[in-house]
Amino acid sequence: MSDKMNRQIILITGSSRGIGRQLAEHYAGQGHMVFGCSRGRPDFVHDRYCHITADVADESSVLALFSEISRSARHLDLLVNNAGLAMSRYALLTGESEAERVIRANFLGAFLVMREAIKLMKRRGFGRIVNFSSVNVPLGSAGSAIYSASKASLEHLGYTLSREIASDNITINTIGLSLVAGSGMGEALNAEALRDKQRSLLKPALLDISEIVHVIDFFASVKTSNITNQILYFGGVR
Amino acid sequence: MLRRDGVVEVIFWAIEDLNQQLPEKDRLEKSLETVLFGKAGKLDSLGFVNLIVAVEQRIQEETGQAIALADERAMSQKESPFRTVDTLANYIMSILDDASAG
Repeated sequence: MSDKMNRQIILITGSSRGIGRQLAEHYAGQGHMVFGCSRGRPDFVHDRYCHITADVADESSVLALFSEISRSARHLDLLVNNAGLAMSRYALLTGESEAERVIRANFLGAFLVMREAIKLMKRRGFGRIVNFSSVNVPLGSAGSAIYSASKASLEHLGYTLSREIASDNITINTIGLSLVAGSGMGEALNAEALRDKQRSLLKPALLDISEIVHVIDFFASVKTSNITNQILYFGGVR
Repeated sequence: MLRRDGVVEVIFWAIEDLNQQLPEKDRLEKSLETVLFGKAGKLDSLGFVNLIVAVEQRIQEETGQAIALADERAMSQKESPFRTVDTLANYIMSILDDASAG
């Protein structure tokens, strides 16, 4: 790691499995105080990890989450907005309730968490927010209409919200993920769909979690106070 | 439970905090009649947001209770509860009273 963060208070949403779990384990192992949340329980413990059961798509649950963080840690340095739902389904075969569930988790939930995180970050006049989007947004991959739209909405939310808080030392940046090893993304696609996806990328290799950490650390650094409203895509996509 | 004078002190604290970021001519007076929102108010929209957020956070610190001031209830009222320090204090007291009764 070329730019180690000083020990920070970090919230990672969707931390019970996949990318969120890997990130939570990594940052707790680095000595940061990590709060994680998900609707279920994680299957790991660490003395620098505190899990809070929460549904990011439920406002009262998000308020309770931040009450707990505020009570325990008093401030927040970094939010990794990871929680979300994946959906690979052609739009014409997607029902309203499924579409709403994805939009609530990926957009509304991310918004609620960002809103409360910013309030907490304003206390110390410092904060870093890293949202996760997807290469499916610029690629417009067939079968990802609702998912991509939810992520595109999140990208634009960051675009505007970063303006509303520009005078604060709080930045909002987004990482557009491609396929991540061990996240369930590749496993959710059949072999043909996986090959098609990889063919659309300049850099098709599955991402290792260390690559994502590298970018998070860059955006989260105290040295990047002038970098906000940026989207960095993996996979060679623009 | 925070009493009304405590709520007013929280609002004054938030005003003082905000004033430190404002040029002298734009600073707010710490009085019950100070206009916070609407015509004759000195705050721009982002200043107003920062004030409300600061008040919410301080109320939470003082009471342990998370409150959301700018919700549908507030926005639907004919007379804005954010109009002055006095009306905001009344509004916060109504929220805290409802919460302790509920």
